[in-house]
Order: sequence, then structure tokens, then C-alpha cells
Amino acid sequence: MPQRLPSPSRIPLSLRLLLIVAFIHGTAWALATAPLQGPDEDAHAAYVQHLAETGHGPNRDAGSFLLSTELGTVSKVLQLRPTLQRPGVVPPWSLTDKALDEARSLPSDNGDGPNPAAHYPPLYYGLGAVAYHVSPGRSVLGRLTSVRMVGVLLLVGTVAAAWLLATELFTQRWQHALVAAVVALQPKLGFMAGVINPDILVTFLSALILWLSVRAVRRKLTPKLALALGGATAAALLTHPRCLPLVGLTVPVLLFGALRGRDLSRRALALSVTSAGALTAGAFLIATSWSRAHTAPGTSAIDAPGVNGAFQLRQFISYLWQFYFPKLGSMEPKVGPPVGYRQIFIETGWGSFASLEVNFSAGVYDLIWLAMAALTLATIVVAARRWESLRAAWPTIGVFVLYSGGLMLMLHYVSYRAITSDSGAGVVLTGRYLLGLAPLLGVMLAFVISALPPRSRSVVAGGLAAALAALALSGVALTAERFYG
Amino acid sequence: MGSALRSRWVISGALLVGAVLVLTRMGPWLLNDRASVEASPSLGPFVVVEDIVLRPGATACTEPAVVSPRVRTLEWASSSPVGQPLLATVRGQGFIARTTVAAESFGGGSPAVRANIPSGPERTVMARICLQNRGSRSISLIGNSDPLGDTPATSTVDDTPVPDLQLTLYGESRSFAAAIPDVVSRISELSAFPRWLVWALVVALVFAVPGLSVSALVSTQRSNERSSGGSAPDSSTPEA
Repeated sequence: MPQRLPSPSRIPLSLRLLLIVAFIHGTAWALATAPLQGPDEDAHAAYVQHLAETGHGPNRDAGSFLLSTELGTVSKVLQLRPTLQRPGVVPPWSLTDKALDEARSLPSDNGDGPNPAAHYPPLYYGLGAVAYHVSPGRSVLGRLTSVRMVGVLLLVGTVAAAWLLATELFTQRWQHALVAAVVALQPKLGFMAGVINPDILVTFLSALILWLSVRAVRRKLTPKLALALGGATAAALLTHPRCLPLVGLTVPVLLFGALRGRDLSRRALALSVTSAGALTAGAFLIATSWSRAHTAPGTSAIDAPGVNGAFQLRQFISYLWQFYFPKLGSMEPKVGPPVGYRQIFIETGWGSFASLEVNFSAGVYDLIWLAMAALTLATIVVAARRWESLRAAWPTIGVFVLYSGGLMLMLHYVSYRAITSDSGAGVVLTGRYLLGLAPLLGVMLAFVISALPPRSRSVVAGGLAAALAALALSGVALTAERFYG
Repeated sequence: MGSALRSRWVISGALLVGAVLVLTRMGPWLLNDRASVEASPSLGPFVVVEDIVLRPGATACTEPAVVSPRVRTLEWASSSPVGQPLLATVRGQGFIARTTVAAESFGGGSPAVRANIPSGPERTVMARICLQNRGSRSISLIGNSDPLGDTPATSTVDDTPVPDLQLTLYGESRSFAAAIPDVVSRISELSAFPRWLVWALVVALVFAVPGLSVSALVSTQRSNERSSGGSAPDSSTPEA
């Protein structure tokens, strides 16, 4: 029988502490980053406001204004647009009251586009619109802060999902806590939770789907679990096109569960698996029709303008290899700009806050690079030592491979197509797209540390948590100094 | 019981060592004085550099500029190979400050034209900031006409509109630690969070985030030892 989620009073102390940590961490980022300074935050905030004010999404290719006159006026007076990506340029904080006074009576419902985010499905923006309306701060800046707090709550949810995933995989409490702590303290994840951007909902739903999938293959697939998995996948498809690879995880998991679940009522299981499939398909149809309704004819949720370069398998394989490893003698030089593992997994995956202009020092990135390399090697060594037990856990490993492999393959494919396109769209791959992998990073750490002598495990895990906390605090402080120092 | 106590001591010790290491690394960043940007009324070029010529006797002005009591240095940028003596003036709502810039302080390899004022206004004012060429040769100031760098301020030379002059105002040098009260008050302005709540968050961030994170791990050690009578079982591999 599947276990029920514990009541709040039965939530383990360590999880409660980590949920509080995640809330404080995310809120700190929401305040340390000046308004509209997150990645593409102006477009996402404008989408939320337009949906909240009119009940309709903006258009990607048509309309009068990206920002409503109200938000545009605040942005103009506070120099929020010129502040973007320019270290050394700060908003004139003392003009906040003037900006809000000027904007108060101006229209807030005319940010109808062109908005580059308008073709994204509406789920995240709908949640943002609810926060916009119930915001205790009634000024537009107060409302934007409330919308940011949605992301903070989603970070808390992601930590809970990571914990649940860990409870499926490991028997010891310190491992559950470590997996959750990695998610709660990963600085880039905290940063993305603190800005208006659907990536945090993508991350939350990805973590949820990962947990449900692991649960489904390790236990028996029940009708409830099948429906939960279908519902979460449907929600993901209604959030962002980047969630499409998750279908490549949930469909095999549901089929695997349905084929294996012989002792359950076949009819009930078939019905629930079919319902989950219908939910997913329905969400896909809604997402694509939403995208079509909010873009110029001829484009879709997947094909962004410029992501349409030619595809040559040999060149693609060479691009993939050179993304991670040095060029081999027989290979052509890598297509596109010199962006690879370090820039994406390390620099923009752990740092590059605000609109990429706030960074840790090169030495910190070197340390993270070394730590990640050591972790990868250690995982391989420990996996080799525990090969028999891992082989027995092949369905779980299969879930991990489908989850991370599907995401990476799609990101590399889209980025390759963008690099080779005539429009010169450039690299459309950045570290924040990988945040869904954070729970897996925690799993790797917990797996590797479990190979240490029992007495030293908690110490190492505690030290790692302290190091992550230091990194998170440093990121918040650097960002606060950049905008407000 | 003794084992649990020992573990806690070991973890506390590790935390302390970690904190010392972090402070050693972050201490200078937190405590060293450095110039801080107080306002950027008019930005430098993003892509296209505009050269704005200032002939002898001509005056370039930018307004409005927010000048707070902390402002001490005005900074323009020049592409001239040779500097000229300049007069900088800040004028706004009951406040006026004048200062000269020596010809040899900029030009050649040093593009920054810095004018230090002895003190800022008593309260924040909207000001007009001007720079007059008092030398015998023209100089070039750097400006921008990029729409992405457009700010509410406009620039003129002898009252004729020109592209935006790059102008940055710096405050007195201070450390980030000393700036925290201002940081809190500015965050409160822009986020609509009450100031006391931002202060509470700063305290929570500095103490609760590392403390609770490590406590979460320590508490699992306790529960493991309780459940296993002092020795934790070795069963950590993902199971089939």
C-alpha cells in the first residue's frame, strides 16, 4: 500500500528545518535582486500583470507595449531597463515614491505585447496572477514582490519533493536531509526562486515527477499514483515547452507499472493509466493551442524563431563531445561560440545571478568544478563497488537516465539547431535550465558519502551543508551589493 | 549517548572551522572600504560610443540627477589623449558645490574624469550637474545614444541637446558591512517589505540558514543513533 503523506506534526524535524531554510533563502533572493532584473523578468512580469488585469495572455508578435503604462513608468523612473546587465549602474532608490505616484493612475492592463514569453503556457503566470491579486502590497512593486514569493513557495515544495525522493532511495535520515539540503541551498536555484520566471515551477514539477516515477517503479503502480503522475506531467506541459522530455519519462513509467501491476485490479489500473495519458495529451493540446493563439501563424511552442538550423548527425555528435571534452584529432572545430560544460554546468549553473552580471570569483568556480569532477569520479567508483545492488535497482536507474538524459538531449538538440541557424540565435542553453537536476546531485552526494565510515558521514554531510550555505549567502550578498550597496 | 555527544562536538567543531575559513575568505570583502555607486543618472555606451566635443569655455550639463548626502565623487569618461582643466558644478534645491579637475588627472591612458566634492547636500536633491572646459583645447567626453541605456536624464552642451553623457556618482568609500543599514532601507523601498522585516530576514539569513541547515543534519544523526542504539546501520545504496 502506498504510504500517505505525513501530517505536519509528523514531518521529521530535519525536513521542517530545511523547509524553513529554503523559505528564508528564497525570500532573501527575492529581496536582494532589484525588480525586473532576473533573466527575462520584464517579459514574465508583464505576462503575469496582463493575465491578472485582463484574464488574457499577451501576444508574442503583436500588441502595443511589452510593459503596461503603469509598469513601464515605474521601470523608466527607476531606470530598471538600463540597469540590466550593467554592473555599476544602480536604480535611483530614492525615486521610488515618485515612480509609484506617477504610475498610480496609469493603465495597468495594456501590456498586450509584443512579449517574447507570450507563447509559454499559462500555468505559472496564472499562479502569479493569483499572487498579484491577493498581494498585501497594493503598489505595482508590492505586487511584483508577491509574485516573486510564489517562486519561494515553489522552492519549498521542491525541497519537500527532493526529500520524498530520497526516502524512496535511501534508508538513513541523514541521506534524506542531505538531498533536501542540496536543493534548499543551491544558490542558483534560490536565485531563480526569487525572481519572476516559470523555471522554478518547471523545477518543482520536475522534482515531483522524478519522485513519483521512482516511487512507481520501486513500489506498485496504484491508480492514485498513476493519476498523480499524469496530473503532474499535465501541469508541467502547461508550464513550459521545456517540460516536454518529461513525457518521455512518465509514459514508460506508466507502461512499466501497468504491465507489472498484475495483482491489482487490472481494470482500475488500466483506467487510471489511460486517464493519466489523457490528462497528459489534453495538457499538450491546450499548451500548443495556447501557444498558437498567442503567436504569429506558423510557429509553435517548440519552434522558437531562430531555432531551426540544419541538422547533421556527425556534426551534432562532434558538438556534443566537444561540449564536455577536448576536441579529438579527427573532429572538426566545434560549431558555435566557445561555450561548454564549465560555462553551463558550473558558471551559469551555480552563479551568474541577476541577468548574468553578478558572479562568484573564478577561484570559486574552479572549486565547484573540482568538486563536481570529484563527485562524478567518486560516483563511478562507488557504483562499480556496488554494481550488484545497482543492477538489481535497474528500474530506478532507468528513471534517472530517462529523466536527465531526456532533458540534456533536448537542450543540446535545441541549442545545436539554434547555433547552426541562419538567424544566429546563438546558444540557447544556460545553467538555469539544469536546475531540475539538483535533486539528482543530492542523490549522488548521499550515495557517495554512504561509502564513508559510518561515523564520518554526518560530519561530511554537515560540512557540505555548511559549504553550500556559505555559497548561498555569498551569492545573496554579492547581488545585494550590486543593486543596493 | 556518549557517541551522540561526540558526534555533535565533532560537527560543531567542523562548523566552527568552516565558519572561520569562510570568514577568512569573505572577511576582506565584507570589511574592506571601497567606492560605492550612489547614482547612475546617465549611462555609458553599450555598443556605440558617442564622442561629445567640449570646446574651450563650453559647458556640458546633465539633469535631473539624484544627489544624496553620501555623494562625494562625480565621474565622467573622456577619450581625449590630453586633459584640460575643468570646473564641475552640482546645483539643486538649496545646494551648490563647485570643484576643479586638474588637466593632468585624466587623458592618455586614464579615461575617468573625476571631480571630488567636499560634502553632499543635507538631504537628497534633484540636481543639474555640469562640467565646463576651462582649458585652451577641446576635449571629448564619452556618451551613448543606445535606446537600452536611455534614462530620464538628458544632456546638453551649451544648452544644445547631445547624446547622454556617461556620468556616475560615487559615495564615500565604505565597506559592505557598513553599508548594510542603507542596503536594508533601499531594499525596503523597492520591495514594499517593511524595513523591520528586511532586518529580520538579514538576521535569519546570516544565522538561521547555516545554523538550521547543519542542525537538520545533526538531528538526523541523533535519530539514527536513537533508532539503532548508538550505531547507525550501513544501508545506503538505492535498493531494488
